[in-house]
Amino acid sequence: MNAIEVKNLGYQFSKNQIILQNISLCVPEGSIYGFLGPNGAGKTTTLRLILGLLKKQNGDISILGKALERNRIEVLQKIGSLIETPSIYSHLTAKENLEIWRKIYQCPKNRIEEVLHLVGLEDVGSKKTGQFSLGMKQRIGIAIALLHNPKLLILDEPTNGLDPNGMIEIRDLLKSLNKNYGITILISSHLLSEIEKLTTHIGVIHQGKMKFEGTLEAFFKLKNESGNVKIRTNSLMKTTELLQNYGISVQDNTIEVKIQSELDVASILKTLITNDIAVYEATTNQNNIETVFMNLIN
Amino acid sequence: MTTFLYSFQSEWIKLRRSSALWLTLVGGLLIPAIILIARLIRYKQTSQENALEQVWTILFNRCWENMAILVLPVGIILVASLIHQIEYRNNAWKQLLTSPQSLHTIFWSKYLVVFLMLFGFFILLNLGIYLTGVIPALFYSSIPFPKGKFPIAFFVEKNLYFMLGILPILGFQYLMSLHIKNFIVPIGIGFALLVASLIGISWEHNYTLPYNYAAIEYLMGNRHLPIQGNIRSWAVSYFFLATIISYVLFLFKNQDLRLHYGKVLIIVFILNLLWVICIWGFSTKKNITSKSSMLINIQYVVHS
Repeated sequence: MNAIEVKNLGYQFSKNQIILQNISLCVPEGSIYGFLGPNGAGKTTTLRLILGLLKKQNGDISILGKALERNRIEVLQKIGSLIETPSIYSHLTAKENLEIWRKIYQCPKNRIEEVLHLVGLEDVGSKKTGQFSLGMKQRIGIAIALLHNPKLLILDEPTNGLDPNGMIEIRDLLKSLNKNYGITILISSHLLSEIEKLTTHIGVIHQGKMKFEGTLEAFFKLKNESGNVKIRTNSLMKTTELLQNYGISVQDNTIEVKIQSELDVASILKTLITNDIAVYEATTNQNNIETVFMNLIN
Repeated sequence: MTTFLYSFQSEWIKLRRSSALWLTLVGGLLIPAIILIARLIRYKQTSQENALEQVWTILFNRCWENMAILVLPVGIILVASLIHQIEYRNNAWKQLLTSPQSLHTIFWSKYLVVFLMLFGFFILLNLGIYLTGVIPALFYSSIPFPKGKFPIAFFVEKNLYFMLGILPILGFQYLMSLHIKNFIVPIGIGFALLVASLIGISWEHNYTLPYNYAAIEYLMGNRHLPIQGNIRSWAVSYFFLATIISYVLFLFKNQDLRLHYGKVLIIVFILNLLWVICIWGFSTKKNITSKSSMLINIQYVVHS
């Protein structure tokens, strides 16, 4: 079963300002789904629509098997969210902040201590949240999202503004929540390295359109499937002739050949050797995750 | 109902240590405290006053002299604006709107909190008035305890009228501060409207100015002040108008209003029409002439 199913979602602020065009995405239950896209791609708008913060204009949104529009309150009871900056009342303590949401979600009182422990903030005492560091605020935001034992967590750029240590802490926390409590997590980010280390599934959005959706393995396959190999031989002219079928470019004495997979490297080398060409150097330069991402969005 | 109760409790927690709460506490006790200090300093006059039968009425009027015209309207303008600032300043609207409660629950629980604060303000003020009468007698043996019996019925009636008089300010400030993120704007507009209303207090149609009613209520009986309309009906009507517009706009809060502008305008128009009918019914027969001016004012509100 999918935790989130979005079909043909569209959204526009005005006739000329189209934000989303026929977005479809599936977040499998138990997964950590990374929603990738550059700034302004439509990530936050999509998440806001999924959470009902924006009124859907067309398309279908189904969360945990139920249509959001008709079951708004029931669906929201099972979702924890953190959209952009955490919503924390800065004049109150961490416990008072959690008490506000505990009342609304009608959770048992001991849940406050539990979630504070879970996010590692059990010792903050009576310090007002306005005095917290950004990392602590993010953790309180996650604690609020976890307070009612949600089945689904929706997090919009939760590591924004955090230092590397804070990012690692949040990442470890999310991994543990997914592994130990089976919580499905939908996380948006423009930080590729973060998504790469955390997620099981990836969706890429650009200019309001979905460019890729699949497992992390499928995404890595894209990474391995494309790249280039730099070759230096004893005969530049003959090598160029032999490799005409590939996309090639010549720089100084080196030929750069575009490859679709690692098999192409073996094939190229075999062709050269069988034609008595001495290969001095062959360096593969496979795409990194950034290049794959850039190729997808361009 | 349980959801509403929990929602209300959660709103109440947000007030802890908030500026809105401090403002209510200080605002309610400020004028009585000043009067108390003055009474302690001028203890001979206080002694004479406390010996009078109508001492409570004197103290009541003395407190409301400053309260009705300036302190209470300013306090309401600030409190209504600061309540919503708690959400805006902490980026908390999005969290609140994704919590499992209906928009109706969110709107009315917040409104109830503001009402209770207003109520608390009146309680504190009246407690303060009582203490200004009693405390000097505890400090000076020469000052007797107030002679007159505490006129509970008078206090309740007058408080009710002042509360009615202040409701339009509460309604319009709540409306503005709910929909305008920058709190300076509703406060600025509120002050401007208050000043404009006070300037127009001697105008023959002063009953149409919604920020005026508490002041008019205090000045009622002053022969230089023309009062043609039933200001209490006007106050209630303005309050309902502001509340209904506020409520409708809040329900559309999650939607792009530009795409629903037609619908919103129709709803607001219908509500305005109901308001006209409502206020027409409220008005007394002798104020028929004032009704035509009232309609002009309504049209002005709708167009603006």
